[in-house]
Amino acid sequence: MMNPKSFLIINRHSPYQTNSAKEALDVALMTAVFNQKTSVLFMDDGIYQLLKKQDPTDITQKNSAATFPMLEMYDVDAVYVEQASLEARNLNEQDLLMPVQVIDSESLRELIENQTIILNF
Amino acid sequence: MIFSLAIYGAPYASQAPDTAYQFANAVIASGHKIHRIFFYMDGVQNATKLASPPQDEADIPARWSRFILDHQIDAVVCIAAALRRGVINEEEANRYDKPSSNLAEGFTLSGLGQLVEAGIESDRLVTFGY
Repeated sequence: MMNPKSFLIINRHSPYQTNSAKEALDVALMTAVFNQKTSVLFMDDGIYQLLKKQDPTDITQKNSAATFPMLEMYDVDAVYVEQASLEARNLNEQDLLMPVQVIDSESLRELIENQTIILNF
Repeated sequence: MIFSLAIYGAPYASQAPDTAYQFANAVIASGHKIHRIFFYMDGVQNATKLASPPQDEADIPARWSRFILDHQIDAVVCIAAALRRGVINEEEANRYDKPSSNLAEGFTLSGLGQLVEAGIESDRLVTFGY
């Protein structure tokens, strides 16, 4: 078996605007199923996907946040949030529904540099 | 070099499938190999055989179908993304009791694992759209 590759899944869009939150999470979980080295990054409006209080029932959508605990079940613990994206939206870690690693722009640069495959959603 | 392509954009809504088509042709023309083209998210719409654009516009789905058959490309459409968007083959149409199917020749419906496998097996996985 070949050495695993490192996959970084980047989420940059708010939930419910498109289906990208759900379909990006499915890709992240699938990379874990294939025993690859998986990281997930939320930045820009993508951090809204992680907000604690979400209730999209009035717009007849499923709460996509409910599936994020699946990441832990699949041993994906490398979950990052860009600090500047949080600050720009007046949010902090306590507003988020799961533990994440908040990273500055320098660490973000390193994270991206160290990946073999980057998938943007 | 071995390439795979992932296409997330729908024809006539996004430039992504057009750009991907030019790229795929350039890969072949340069003597490289395409391991797989994977259609995901709105990109599954590229696999319909029912698109009927005006005659002075490119028939983007038909063009893919020809390209895939001519070059014997493994063209996989994510089955979950496709079914929820109404892109369906005969077998699934029967399973879900739908009146017709529309998956064009050359395309295969399969799971998301085929995208990850393409990433693992290829030297480069290039995405189009998003």
